[in-house]
Amino acid sequence: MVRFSGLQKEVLSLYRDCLRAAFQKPIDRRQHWINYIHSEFNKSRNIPRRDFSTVEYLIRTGKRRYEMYKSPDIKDVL
Amino acid sequence: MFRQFTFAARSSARLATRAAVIRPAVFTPVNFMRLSSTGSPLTREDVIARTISVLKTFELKNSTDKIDVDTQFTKDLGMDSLDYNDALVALEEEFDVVFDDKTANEIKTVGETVDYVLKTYIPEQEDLDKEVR
Amino acid sequence: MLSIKSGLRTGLSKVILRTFATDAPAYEPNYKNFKVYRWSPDHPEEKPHMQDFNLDMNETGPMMLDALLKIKNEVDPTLTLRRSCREGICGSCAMNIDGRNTLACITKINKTDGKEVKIYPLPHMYVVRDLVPDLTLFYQQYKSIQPYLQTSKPPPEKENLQTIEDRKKLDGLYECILCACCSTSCPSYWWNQQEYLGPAVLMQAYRWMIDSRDDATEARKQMLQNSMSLYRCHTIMNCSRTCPKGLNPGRAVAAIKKSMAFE
Repeated sequence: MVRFSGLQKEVLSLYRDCLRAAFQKPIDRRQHWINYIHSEFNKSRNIPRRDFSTVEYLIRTGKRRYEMYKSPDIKDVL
Repeated sequence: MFRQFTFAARSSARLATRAAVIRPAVFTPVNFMRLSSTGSPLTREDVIARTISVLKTFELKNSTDKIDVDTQFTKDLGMDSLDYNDALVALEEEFDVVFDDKTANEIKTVGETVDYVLKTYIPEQEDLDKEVR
Repeated sequence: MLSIKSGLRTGLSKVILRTFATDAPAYEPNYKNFKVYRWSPDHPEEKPHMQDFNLDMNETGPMMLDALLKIKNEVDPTLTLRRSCREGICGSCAMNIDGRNTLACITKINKTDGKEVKIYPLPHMYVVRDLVPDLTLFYQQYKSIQPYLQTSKPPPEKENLQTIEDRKKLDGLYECILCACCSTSCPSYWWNQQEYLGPAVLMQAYRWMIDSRDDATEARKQMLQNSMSLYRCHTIMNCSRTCPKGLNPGRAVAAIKKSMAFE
């Protein structure tokens, strides 16, 4: 397995946090959340790892969305 | 969905709803083989068996039938870094543990996750506010 | 009936003939170039760039905001900016125009100098899109100073009265519209946004400290009693120089420092 760069580690950490948050959602909606997380991360799969500014931007917006969506008041996502 | 479940009393309600959801390709927490409601210590064999059954709920690109402690997530199971983090979080849910960032980023084999779970797992009776979690 | 019609027609042709005959001066447009910062989160892999817009000043309103809205309405509807009141009271259209943080709605266009205008979002802020900066942190910092009346006294029957002198102390402070022009012009804030509160927020902290009706002055001072929140101000005074409302945040920060100096 390749060693991850600092930025990659941040991405993976965010990814885990998102999935953990998904498991806190109502059980019948979890699949929606997991699918949503998968599709959102997949959108950026082809960003070159050296394109730092883009990756940093995506991590930042991703974190903000995570902070917003992890609230227990938000139950479902489409 | 095809497995025999033996539930601990505390998790039966949670699990009942879980079983109702049909999603074969993706992870469904298993929580089987929990030996008693008083939370007896986890044996290595338990952890291995439960880990493997969790992994089998994933759509594996290299569908090798046998998964053991030496199986590597990327090499043997064809998982990329996102895929195996899916698996790690699924295992967190299964065993009520949390992989710290350092461990999660360095784990290569199934055996390493098993060791981590054994190292950090807190038996139920000592973890009173787990339900509150 | 017929004669009226034909009479009209001949009248009309006379007019047309006359205009041709008098040779009216040809219309001379007065173009001015606007270079505007563009960046879209829909394509995060594309780098930000400057886009040129050439506008005829004869057909543009007097203010920078008029020019931007003309671009948005007539040239490129994807140009994104915040604006609301168009009279300098909401603080939405704060941006960097020709190197100065200001409000687009109260900044005049110089229509005769023939120079191009450069318009950027507020500097050193994350950009949401085009000219829209992300002010999340700024608002969080404002929230952190608890910008509301704190008092242990029971609420009075009617108004919470102040003497005329006490009220006067708030002049030059309460007018702040939190447009963030000053904070984003401050080099200390550029480099230490996470810890340093910045002039706009500090001025509001001061506004509550000296409010005669507020009893939390000591607690408010205590909150700032660390090396970062307040003391990153090195009296560079860009804040007071740039404030589009003509306020003096630098003086307010200095006043806080003074009041805390002997504690």
